[in-house]
Amino acid sequence: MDDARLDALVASTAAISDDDLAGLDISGLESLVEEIMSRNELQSHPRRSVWPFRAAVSAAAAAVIVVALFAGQDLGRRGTAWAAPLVAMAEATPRLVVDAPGWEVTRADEFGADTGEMTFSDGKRSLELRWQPAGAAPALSKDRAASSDHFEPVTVLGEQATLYRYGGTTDYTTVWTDGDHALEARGAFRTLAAYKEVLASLRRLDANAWLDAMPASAVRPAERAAAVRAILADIPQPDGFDPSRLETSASVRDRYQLGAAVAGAVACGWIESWVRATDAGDAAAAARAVAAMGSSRDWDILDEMNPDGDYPEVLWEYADAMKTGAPVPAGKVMTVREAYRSALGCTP
Amino acid sequence: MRDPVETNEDRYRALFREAARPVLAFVLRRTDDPADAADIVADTFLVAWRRIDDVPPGDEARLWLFGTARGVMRNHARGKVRRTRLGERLRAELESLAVADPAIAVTEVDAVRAALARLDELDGELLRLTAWEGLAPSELAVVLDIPAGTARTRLHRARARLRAELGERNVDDGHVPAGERVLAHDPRCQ
Repeated sequence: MDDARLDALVASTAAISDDDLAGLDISGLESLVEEIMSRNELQSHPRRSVWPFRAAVSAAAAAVIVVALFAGQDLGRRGTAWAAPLVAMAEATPRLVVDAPGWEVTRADEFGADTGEMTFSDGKRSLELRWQPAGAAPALSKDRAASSDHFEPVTVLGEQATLYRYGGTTDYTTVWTDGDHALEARGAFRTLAAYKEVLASLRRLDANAWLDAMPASAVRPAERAAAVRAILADIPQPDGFDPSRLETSASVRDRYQLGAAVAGAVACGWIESWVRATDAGDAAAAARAVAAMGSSRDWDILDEMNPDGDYPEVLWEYADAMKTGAPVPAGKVMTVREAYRSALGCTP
Repeated sequence: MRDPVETNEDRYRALFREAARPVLAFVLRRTDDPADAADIVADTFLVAWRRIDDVPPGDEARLWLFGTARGVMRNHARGKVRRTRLGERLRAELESLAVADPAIAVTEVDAVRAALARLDELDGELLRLTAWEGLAPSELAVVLDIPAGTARTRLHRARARLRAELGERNVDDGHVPAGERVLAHDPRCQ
């Protein structure tokens, strides 16, 4: 069989050809370009996240516990008394941890009762745990089975589970259901035995112990006011700026998220005062706002956040644009005054 | 002088216009669930928008997008991509799109599909990119981020292996040095 015949055989296995698709009216595809470009704002793309979109300034913050985390601490040693709503939410999650020497929680993104994702690590290896509503289990299993070259039944915390190895890799994942949740624990390990050992060390904690296991970078409600004040220490604030709204919240946030909330609130205030001053022809007040925003490259919190996401860069982009009068990239060419509320998460 | 922001926008729109359907076809051929394909296409073009300065000019842009889509698919397979509101409309449309069901296949196609599935991932992808996307070996190299010479050699071997799987036993030894397993990590994929 010559190459052309062989290629034709392979071509016959395609589910759809370019020509087939070219003839279809898919308006969702045409509208995607605008959807993407209109999302070119800070909230859409913190680099830190493995997920494509995670709101940096999330209106849903009250509904989910946001603890995207940088560093870990030993499990169960904090002994904090958690607010009742937080405990209630934790009660509804699987609350699993890797209970083995040296392992700690290193990341937990936007988790809630229905869905969540955490990463555990011992510094060399890591295990990612995800949970979703139990109804997702069949599709999850089917997808993993399609990607795997080995599978076997295992037991996880007394539940029947299926362990898969991604084809051609030493990435392993295990899928199981537990009550209301479909769970998956995935990691790259040298051997199947090493993965199984970590899988076997999963343990369920009570709500308080589980919340205690969150890394030190999570800002607890009781610590929040002090953290906000510390962040504001080197940031010039516009007249009438009231930080009290930032200081009170029942939710857990990590430093990045809190930093975005605080720096963003100040930046929004300055830009609003700049817009007002410009409209009123008050050149001195406008210049003060431009200078204050210009100092943002020296704000410690933005330096701290910069390796972990794009919020600082967007804020600096706006500061620069205020100074030069240049437009900002916001899905289309827009001025600072047109785009800043959406980009920086300003609330009216 | 043209505004650089506008230039990026224009360039992105042109890129999308030229490549959106080929990329959608590329992804639909490699995913079982059209809803997943919508997510993957959306994420692929989101990466392209964020990294528009990295997208090569000309036809190589399409190859760059294929490579990026492969990375997004890999993350998707590993559960690292979740459903977002982006591309919801596309998802709804694709869910009602009748893509050929691999389970309903004539015998020969079925046999070829099964034979492809038994190949090494890289071998299978070299053959699919050649036959499905019509790429030349130099283009395979761009998509797969491997040297062009390697792409040629591997394509030759992949064809030989597929012939062997299909019952034609005129194949070379089939051994692949471990160093050639280059697909474990694609640096273009976040």
